[in-house]
Amino acid sequence: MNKPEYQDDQKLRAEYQKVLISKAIREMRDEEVNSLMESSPEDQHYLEFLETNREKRLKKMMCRLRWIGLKKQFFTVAPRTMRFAVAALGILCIGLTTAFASNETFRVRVFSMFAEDHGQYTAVSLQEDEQKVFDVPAEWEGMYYPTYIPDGFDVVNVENLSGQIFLISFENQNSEYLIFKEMTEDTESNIDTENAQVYYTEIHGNTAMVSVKEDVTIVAWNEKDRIFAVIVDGEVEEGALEVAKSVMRIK
Amino acid sequence: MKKLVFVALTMLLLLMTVSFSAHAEDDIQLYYTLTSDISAALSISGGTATCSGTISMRSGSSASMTMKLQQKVDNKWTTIATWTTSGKAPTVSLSKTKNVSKGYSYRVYVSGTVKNDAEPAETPSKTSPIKSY
Repeated sequence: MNKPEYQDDQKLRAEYQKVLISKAIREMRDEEVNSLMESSPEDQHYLEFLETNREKRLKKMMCRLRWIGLKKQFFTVAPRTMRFAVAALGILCIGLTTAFASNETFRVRVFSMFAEDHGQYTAVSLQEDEQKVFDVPAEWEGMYYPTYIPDGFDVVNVENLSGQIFLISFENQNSEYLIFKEMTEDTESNIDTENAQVYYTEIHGNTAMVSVKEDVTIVAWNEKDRIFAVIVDGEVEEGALEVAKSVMRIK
Repeated sequence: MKKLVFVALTMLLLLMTVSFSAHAEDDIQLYYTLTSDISAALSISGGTATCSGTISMRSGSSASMTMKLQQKVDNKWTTIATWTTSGKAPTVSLSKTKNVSKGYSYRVYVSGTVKNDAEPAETPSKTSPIKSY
Protein backbone atom coordinates (compact mmCIF):
# COMPACT_ATOMS: atom_id res chain seq x y z
CA MET A 1 0.00 0.00 0.00
CA ASN A 2 1.44 3.36 -0.93
CA LYS A 3 1.75 6.27 1.48
CA PRO A 4 -1.40 8.36 0.66
CA GLU A 5 -3.62 5.25 0.72
CA TYR A 6 -2.09 4.19 4.00
CA GLN A 7 -2.79 7.59 5.50
CA ASP A 8 -6.40 7.59 4.21
CA ASP A 9 -6.97 4.17 5.73
CA GLN A 10 -5.58 5.36 9.06
CA LYS A 11 -7.88 8.39 8.99
CA LEU A 12 -10.95 6.29 8.19
CA ARG A 13 -10.18 3.88 11.01
CA ALA A 14 -9.79 6.76 13.46
CA GLU A 15 -13.07 8.33 12.33
CA TYR A 16 -14.85 4.97 12.60
CA GLN A 17 -13.50 4.51 16.12
CA LYS A 18 -14.76 7.96 17.08
CA VAL A 19 -18.25 7.23 15.71
CA LEU A 20 -18.44 3.91 17.58
CA ILE A 21 -17.34 5.46 20.84
CA SER A 22 -19.71 8.41 20.58
CA LYS A 23 -22.54 5.98 19.74
CA ALA A 24 -21.71 3.93 22.81
CA ILE A 25 -21.62 7.06 24.96
CA ARG A 26 -24.96 8.19 23.61
CA GLU A 27 -26.52 4.78 24.36
CA MET A 28 -25.10 4.82 27.86
CA ARG A 29 -26.40 8.32 28.38
CA ASP A 30 -29.88 7.35 27.12
CA GLU A 31 -29.98 4.42 29.50
CA GLU A 32 -28.92 6.71 32.30
CA VAL A 33 -31.60 9.24 31.39
CA ASN A 34 -34.32 6.58 31.24
CA SER A 35 -33.40 5.27 34.63
CA LEU A 36 -33.31 8.79 36.04
CA MET A 37 -36.72 9.61 34.52
CA GLU A 38 -38.15 6.97 36.75
CA SER A 39 -36.33 8.27 39.82
CA SER A 40 -36.85 11.03 42.41
CA PRO A 41 -36.99 14.89 41.87
CA GLU A 42 -33.38 15.22 43.16
CA ASP A 43 -32.38 12.92 40.39
CA GLN A 44 -34.29 15.15 37.95
CA HIS A 45 -32.00 18.03 38.89
CA TYR A 46 -29.01 15.83 38.24
CA LEU A 47 -30.50 14.92 34.87
CA GLU A 48 -30.85 18.59 33.96
CA PHE A 49 -27.27 19.15 35.05
CA LEU A 50 -26.16 16.32 32.79
CA GLU A 51 -28.12 17.79 29.88
CA THR A 52 -26.57 21.24 30.23
CA ASN A 53 -23.05 19.82 30.47
CA ARG A 54 -23.54 17.24 27.78
CA GLU A 55 -21.80 19.20 25.03
CA LYS A 56 -18.87 20.06 27.25
CA ARG A 57 -18.38 16.48 28.35
CA LEU A 58 -18.63 15.21 24.80
CA LYS A 59 -16.03 17.72 23.62
CA LYS A 60 -13.72 16.72 26.44
CA MET A 61 -14.11 13.08 25.57
CA MET A 62 -13.49 13.73 21.86
CA CYS A 63 -10.32 15.63 22.74
CA ARG A 64 -9.12 12.71 24.78
CA LEU A 65 -9.91 10.30 21.96
CA ARG A 66 -8.06 12.50 19.47
CA TRP A 67 -5.06 12.58 21.80
CA ILE A 68 -5.10 8.77 22.09
CA GLY A 69 -5.28 8.56 18.29
CA LEU A 70 -2.37 10.95 17.87
CA LYS A 71 -0.26 9.00 20.33
CA LYS A 72 -0.98 5.79 18.48
CA GLN A 73 -0.16 7.43 15.15
CA PHE A 74 3.09 8.81 16.54
CA PHE A 75 4.28 5.43 17.76
CA THR A 76 3.45 3.72 14.48
CA VAL A 77 4.48 6.39 11.93
CA ALA A 78 7.27 8.10 13.87
CA PRO A 79 9.73 5.20 13.90
CA ARG A 80 9.71 5.14 10.08
CA THR A 81 10.16 8.91 9.91
CA MET A 82 12.85 8.82 12.58
CA ARG A 83 14.76 6.22 10.63
CA PHE A 84 14.83 8.58 7.63
CA ALA A 85 15.74 11.54 9.84
CA VAL A 86 18.62 9.69 11.46
CA ALA A 87 19.88 8.53 8.08
CA ALA A 88 19.67 12.08 6.70
CA LEU A 89 21.48 13.45 9.74
CA GLY A 90 24.20 10.85 9.30
CA ILE A 91 24.70 11.80 5.66
CA LEU A 92 24.73 15.49 6.59
CA CYS A 93 27.35 14.89 9.30
CA ILE A 94 29.61 12.99 6.94
CA GLY A 95 29.12 15.71 4.29
CA LEU A 96 29.91 18.50 6.70
CA THR A 97 32.93 16.74 8.15
CA THR A 98 34.30 16.31 4.67
CA ALA A 99 33.43 19.90 3.81
CA PHE A 100 35.12 21.22 6.96
CA ALA A 101 38.12 19.07 6.37
CA SER A 102 38.46 20.32 2.83
CA ASN A 103 37.27 23.81 3.72
CA GLU A 104 40.49 24.66 5.53
CA THR A 105 43.03 23.77 2.89
CA PHE A 106 43.43 21.83 -0.29
CA ARG A 107 46.58 19.97 -1.15
CA VAL A 108 48.55 20.77 -4.28
CA ARG A 109 50.62 17.89 -5.58
CA VAL A 110 53.92 18.70 -7.22
CA PHE A 111 55.39 16.40 -9.84
CA SER A 112 58.93 16.03 -11.04
CA MET A 113 60.03 14.40 -14.24
CA PHE A 114 61.82 11.13 -13.75
CA ALA A 115 64.20 10.09 -16.53
CA GLU A 116 65.70 6.61 -16.79
CA ASP A 117 68.46 5.97 -19.31
CA HIS A 118 68.02 2.61 -21.05
CA GLY A 119 70.92 2.99 -23.46
CA GLN A 120 68.95 3.07 -26.69
CA TYR A 121 66.28 5.26 -25.20
CA THR A 122 65.44 7.23 -22.06
CA ALA A 123 62.14 6.59 -20.36
CA VAL A 124 60.52 9.69 -18.93
CA SER A 125 57.66 9.80 -16.47
CA LEU A 126 56.19 11.99 -13.81
CA GLN A 127 56.65 11.24 -10.15
CA GLU A 128 54.99 13.01 -7.29
CA ASP A 129 57.47 14.93 -5.19
CA GLU A 130 56.07 14.43 -1.70
CA GLN A 131 58.48 16.93 -0.20
CA LYS A 132 57.14 19.67 -2.43
CA VAL A 133 53.46 19.02 -1.73
CA PHE A 134 51.85 22.08 -0.15
CA ASP A 135 48.51 23.17 1.23
CA VAL A 136 46.47 26.11 -0.03
CA PRO A 137 43.62 27.70 1.95
CA ALA A 138 40.35 26.53 0.45
CA GLU A 139 39.10 30.13 0.18
CA TRP A 140 41.98 31.06 -2.10
CA GLU A 141 40.63 31.51 -5.62
CA GLY A 142 43.70 32.96 -7.30
CA MET A 143 45.53 31.18 -10.07
CA TYR A 144 48.93 31.32 -8.32
CA TYR A 145 50.03 30.75 -4.74
CA PRO A 146 53.33 30.95 -2.78
CA THR A 147 54.50 27.49 -1.80
CA TYR A 148 56.79 28.99 0.82
CA ILE A 149 55.49 30.99 3.76
CA PRO A 150 57.99 31.66 6.59
CA ASP A 151 57.41 29.78 9.83
CA GLY A 152 55.11 31.43 12.34
CA PHE A 153 52.87 33.18 9.83
CA ASP A 154 49.21 32.21 9.94
CA VAL A 155 46.44 33.16 7.54
CA VAL A 156 44.32 36.04 8.81
CA ASN A 157 42.42 37.06 5.69
CA VAL A 158 41.67 35.72 2.23
CA GLU A 159 39.84 37.85 -0.35
CA ASN A 160 38.66 37.60 -3.91
CA LEU A 161 37.72 41.05 -5.21
CA SER A 162 35.46 40.05 -8.12
CA GLY A 163 38.20 38.04 -9.77
CA GLN A 164 40.26 41.21 -10.30
CA ILE A 165 42.40 41.19 -7.16
CA PHE A 166 43.10 38.16 -4.98
CA LEU A 167 44.84 38.76 -1.71
CA ILE A 168 45.85 36.73 1.29
CA SER A 169 47.27 38.14 4.52
CA PHE A 170 49.34 36.28 7.10
CA GLU A 171 50.32 37.47 10.56
CA ASN A 172 52.94 36.23 13.01
CA GLN A 173 53.14 36.46 16.80
CA ASN A 174 54.88 39.85 16.58
CA SER A 175 51.88 41.24 14.66
CA GLU A 176 53.97 41.45 11.49
CA TYR A 177 52.13 40.94 8.24
CA LEU A 178 52.91 39.15 5.04
CA ILE A 179 50.58 39.88 2.12
CA PHE A 180 50.45 38.13 -1.23
CA LYS A 181 48.47 39.87 -3.97
CA GLU A 182 47.57 38.55 -7.39
CA MET A 183 46.10 41.10 -9.79
CA THR A 184 44.69 40.88 -13.29
CA GLU A 185 45.36 43.24 -16.18
CA ASP A 186 42.32 45.30 -15.08
CA THR A 187 44.28 46.48 -12.05
CA GLU A 188 46.83 49.22 -11.47
CA SER A 189 48.79 49.73 -8.26
CA ASN A 190 50.98 52.29 -6.56
CA ILE A 191 53.69 50.60 -4.52
CA ASP A 192 55.60 52.28 -1.74
CA THR A 193 59.09 53.09 -3.01
CA GLU A 194 59.37 56.43 -1.25
CA ASN A 195 62.86 56.82 0.24
CA ALA A 196 63.29 53.10 -0.29
CA GLN A 197 66.22 51.14 -1.64
CA VAL A 198 64.86 50.00 -4.99
CA TYR A 199 66.45 47.56 -7.38
CA TYR A 200 65.42 45.12 -10.11
CA THR A 201 65.99 41.41 -10.28
CA GLU A 202 64.46 38.38 -11.99
CA ILE A 203 61.75 36.03 -10.83
CA HIS A 204 60.93 33.08 -13.07
CA GLY A 205 62.51 34.92 -15.98
CA ASN A 206 60.48 38.08 -15.47
CA THR A 207 61.68 41.46 -14.23
CA ALA A 208 60.88 42.00 -10.59
CA MET A 209 61.07 45.23 -8.62
CA VAL A 210 62.27 45.05 -5.02
CA SER A 211 61.62 47.93 -2.64
CA VAL A 212 63.30 47.72 0.75
CA LYS A 213 62.52 50.03 3.64
CA GLU A 214 63.19 49.75 7.33
CA ASP A 215 59.63 48.68 8.07
CA VAL A 216 58.47 47.08 4.84
CA THR A 217 59.83 45.06 1.93
CA ILE A 218 57.87 44.73 -1.31
CA VAL A 219 58.55 42.55 -4.32
CA ALA A 220 56.44 43.13 -7.43
CA TRP A 221 56.61 41.24 -10.71
CA ASN A 222 54.44 39.73 -13.40
CA GLU A 223 53.88 36.33 -14.92
CA LYS A 224 51.86 36.23 -18.13
CA ASP A 225 48.80 38.43 -17.56
CA ARG A 226 49.08 38.58 -13.77
CA ILE A 227 50.83 41.10 -11.55
CA PHE A 228 52.01 39.93 -8.13
CA ALA A 229 53.12 41.69 -4.99
CA VAL A 230 54.64 40.22 -1.87
CA ILE A 231 54.54 42.73 0.97
CA VAL A 232 56.32 41.83 4.22
CA ASP A 233 56.64 43.97 7.33
CA GLY A 234 60.26 44.74 8.15
CA GLU A 235 63.53 44.86 6.27
CA VAL A 236 63.34 41.24 5.18
CA GLU A 237 64.60 41.25 1.64
CA GLU A 238 65.70 37.63 1.48
CA GLY A 239 62.52 36.29 3.04
CA ALA A 240 60.30 38.36 0.73
CA LEU A 241 62.26 37.22 -2.33
CA GLU A 242 62.05 33.61 -1.22
CA VAL A 243 58.26 33.89 -0.92
CA ALA A 244 58.06 35.59 -4.33
CA LYS A 245 60.22 32.94 -6.00
CA SER A 246 58.06 30.19 -4.52
CA VAL A 247 54.91 31.47 -6.24
CA MET A 248 53.63 28.87 -8.66
CA ARG A 249 50.57 28.28 -10.78
CA ILE A 250 48.09 26.01 -9.05
CA LYS A 251 45.21 26.06 -11.54
CA MET B 1 84.14 98.48 11.44
CA LYS B 2 82.44 98.17 8.05
CA LYS B 3 84.14 94.83 7.56
CA LEU B 4 82.89 93.63 10.92
CA VAL B 5 79.29 94.60 10.12
CA PHE B 6 79.57 92.92 6.71
CA VAL B 7 80.88 89.68 8.25
CA ALA B 8 78.16 89.74 10.93
CA LEU B 9 75.44 90.29 8.33
CA THR B 10 76.81 87.54 6.13
CA MET B 11 76.90 85.15 9.09
CA LEU B 12 73.31 86.06 9.97
CA LEU B 13 72.18 85.49 6.40
CA LEU B 14 73.90 82.11 6.30
CA LEU B 15 72.29 81.07 9.57
CA MET B 16 68.85 82.08 8.32
CA THR B 17 69.34 80.16 5.09
CA VAL B 18 70.33 77.01 6.98
CA SER B 19 67.42 77.44 9.37
CA PHE B 20 64.89 77.93 6.53
CA SER B 21 66.11 74.93 4.59
CA ALA B 22 65.94 72.75 7.70
CA HIS B 23 62.39 73.94 8.33
CA ALA B 24 61.43 73.25 4.72
CA GLU B 25 62.80 69.72 5.03
CA ASP B 26 60.60 69.15 8.07
CA ASP B 27 57.57 70.19 6.03
CA ILE B 28 58.10 67.68 3.22
CA GLN B 29 55.23 65.29 3.52
CA LEU B 30 55.93 61.62 3.01
CA TYR B 31 53.03 59.88 1.34
CA TYR B 32 54.00 56.31 2.04
CA THR B 33 55.02 55.86 5.62
CA LEU B 34 51.96 53.79 6.52
CA THR B 35 50.66 52.74 3.11
CA SER B 36 52.39 49.82 1.45
CA ASP B 37 50.35 49.83 -1.73
CA ILE B 38 47.04 50.95 -3.19
CA SER B 39 45.25 49.31 -6.13
CA ALA B 40 42.28 50.11 -8.33
CA ALA B 41 40.61 47.75 -10.80
CA LEU B 42 37.89 48.12 -13.40
CA SER B 43 36.34 45.78 -15.93
CA ILE B 44 33.15 46.24 -17.93
CA SER B 45 31.10 43.43 -19.36
CA GLY B 46 27.51 43.31 -20.59
CA GLY B 47 26.69 46.78 -19.31
CA THR B 48 28.01 46.07 -15.82
CA ALA B 49 31.13 47.70 -14.45
CA THR B 50 32.99 45.72 -11.81
CA CYS B 51 35.09 47.93 -9.57
CA SER B 52 37.61 46.90 -6.92
CA GLY B 53 40.01 48.74 -4.69
CA THR B 54 42.38 47.84 -1.92
CA ILE B 55 44.90 49.49 0.39
CA SER B 56 47.63 47.53 2.15
CA MET B 57 49.13 49.20 5.18
CA ARG B 58 51.68 48.75 7.95
CA SER B 59 50.99 46.96 11.17
CA GLY B 60 49.08 49.13 13.66
CA SER B 61 47.49 51.34 11.01
CA SER B 62 43.88 51.84 10.07
CA ALA B 63 42.31 53.30 6.96
CA SER B 64 39.12 54.66 5.51
CA MET B 65 38.79 54.07 1.79
CA THR B 66 36.56 55.62 -0.86
CA MET B 67 36.05 54.07 -4.26
CA LYS B 68 34.44 56.09 -7.06
CA LEU B 69 33.28 54.96 -10.46
CA GLN B 70 33.76 57.86 -12.83
CA GLN B 71 32.38 58.49 -16.31
CA LYS B 72 34.00 60.83 -18.80
CA VAL B 73 31.48 63.37 -20.02
CA ASP B 74 32.57 66.37 -22.13
CA ASN B 75 36.20 65.65 -21.29
CA LYS B 76 35.49 65.79 -17.56
CA TRP B 77 35.41 62.91 -15.09
CA THR B 78 32.06 62.73 -13.33
CA THR B 79 31.47 60.42 -10.38
CA ILE B 80 28.47 58.15 -10.95
CA ALA B 81 28.87 55.90 -7.91
CA THR B 82 30.70 56.16 -4.60
CA TRP B 83 31.36 53.46 -2.03
CA THR B 84 33.26 53.68 1.24
CA THR B 85 34.70 51.32 3.79
CA SER B 86 37.16 51.36 6.64
CA GLY B 87 39.24 48.87 8.54
CA LYS B 88 42.49 48.00 10.21
CA ALA B 89 45.80 46.63 8.94
CA PRO B 90 46.79 44.69 6.97
CA THR B 91 44.25 45.59 4.24
CA VAL B 92 40.98 47.33 3.51
CA SER B 93 39.18 46.53 0.31
CA LEU B 94 35.98 46.97 -1.65
CA SER B 95 34.41 45.34 -4.66
CA LYS B 96 31.18 46.57 -6.25
CA THR B 97 29.25 46.51 -9.51
CA LYS B 98 27.24 49.18 -11.28
CA ASN B 99 25.26 49.27 -14.50
CA VAL B 100 26.80 51.65 -17.04
CA SER B 101 25.72 53.23 -20.31
CA LYS B 102 27.33 52.65 -23.67
CA GLY B 103 29.42 55.26 -25.48
CA TYR B 104 31.51 56.50 -22.56
CA SER B 105 34.90 55.99 -20.95
CA TYR B 106 35.07 54.90 -17.33
CA ARG B 107 37.63 54.63 -14.57
CA VAL B 108 37.76 53.76 -10.89
CA TYR B 109 39.30 56.22 -8.47
CA VAL B 110 40.39 54.83 -5.12
CA SER B 111 41.53 57.11 -2.32
CA GLY B 112 42.06 56.64 1.37
CA THR B 113 43.20 58.11 4.64
CA VAL B 114 45.69 55.92 6.42
CA LYS B 115 46.71 56.69 9.98
CA ASN B 116 48.10 55.33 13.18
CA ASP B 117 48.75 56.77 16.63
CA ALA B 118 52.29 57.96 15.89
CA GLU B 119 52.45 59.20 12.29
CA PRO B 120 50.50 61.97 10.55
CA ALA B 121 47.66 60.67 8.38
CA GLU B 122 48.45 60.14 4.72
CA THR B 123 46.09 60.18 1.76
CA PRO B 124 47.12 57.84 -1.05
CA SER B 125 45.06 57.54 -4.22
CA LYS B 126 45.06 55.52 -7.42
CA THR B 127 43.05 55.37 -10.63
CA SER B 128 42.36 52.19 -12.54
CA PRO B 129 43.02 51.68 -16.24
CA ILE B 130 40.47 53.59 -18.33
CA LYS B 131 37.90 51.38 -20.05
CA SER B 132 35.71 52.42 -22.95
CA TYR B 133 32.32 50.84 -23.34
